[in-house]
Amino acid sequence: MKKLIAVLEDNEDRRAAMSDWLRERFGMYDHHFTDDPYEMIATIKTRRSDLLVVSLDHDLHERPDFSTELTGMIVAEHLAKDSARRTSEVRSEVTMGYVPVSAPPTPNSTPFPVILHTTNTRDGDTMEQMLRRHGRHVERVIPFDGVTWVYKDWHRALKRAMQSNMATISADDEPD
Amino acid sequence: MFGKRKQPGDKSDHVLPQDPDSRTLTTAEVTGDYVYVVDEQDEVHVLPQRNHGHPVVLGSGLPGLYAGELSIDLPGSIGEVNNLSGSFRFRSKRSLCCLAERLRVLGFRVGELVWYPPDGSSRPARLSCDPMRGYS
Repeated sequence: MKKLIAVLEDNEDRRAAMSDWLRERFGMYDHHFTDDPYEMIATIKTRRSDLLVVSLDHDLHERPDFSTELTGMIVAEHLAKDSARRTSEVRSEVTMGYVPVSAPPTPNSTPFPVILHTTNTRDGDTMEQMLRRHGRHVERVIPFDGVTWVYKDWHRALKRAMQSNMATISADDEPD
Repeated sequence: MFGKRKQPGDKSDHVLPQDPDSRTLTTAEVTGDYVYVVDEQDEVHVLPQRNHGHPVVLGSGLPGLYAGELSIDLPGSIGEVNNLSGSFRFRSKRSLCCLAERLRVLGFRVGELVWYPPDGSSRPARLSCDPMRGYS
């Protein structure tokens, strides 16, 4: 199964630029775009183990329904609750005498990183603090200059996020 | 040694000429993010990071021995070099080590080698090259 990069974004120009960039530079991975935070949560639930990185916008006013209620905060809150629930489950196992997690954290067991690509500084700060408090690796990108930021800051943030907790492999494990 | 040469994957790219900003990499290159292609003479050519950059580093559908991205943190110092290129899609890890050796011969300090799996089955990984082996 291919790993997945999932993006919550409502603006058509940004989606086109991000999608084009992902196809060109990260075409080996699956990509999922949505402007619906609940669809993003469903994707996170069904493909959690495949998720490489999730990139979230906050304001989604350009949805067809012009909603101001649906925002990236809904996804951030879900991720925070989810992290809290998982931590609580591990603590319960300790209380009951089980070894919580026998193996040390590995790149596959570490919660997937999140990129926040929003111009809404105040709500972006809230999302960032909420996610960091629950142990997520978070990258911030401030969109600027049309879609130029996609090829520059967002690309760098994608790589930093994917390379967080990166494993080391040997070049000599491939056949001659 | 690098592996087999490859042309850019999309045939429509073969008519694109070399970008005028494309140049041979030297330690005089300024700080920034670049795409690179290694040509058949083992020369490393770079172009400042841009959308759909790889096909026009050499241009005219010329084949390369390896391709990806590199970042220059300071003149003479490469922070990261990887195999990310949708046009060439090189997969060899040893060729990435070979490139690192080539960059050191050119006078660069080389930081992390990051290998992205071409089948998308895992996260990228930091590549470790055996210093005793010799890849060039």
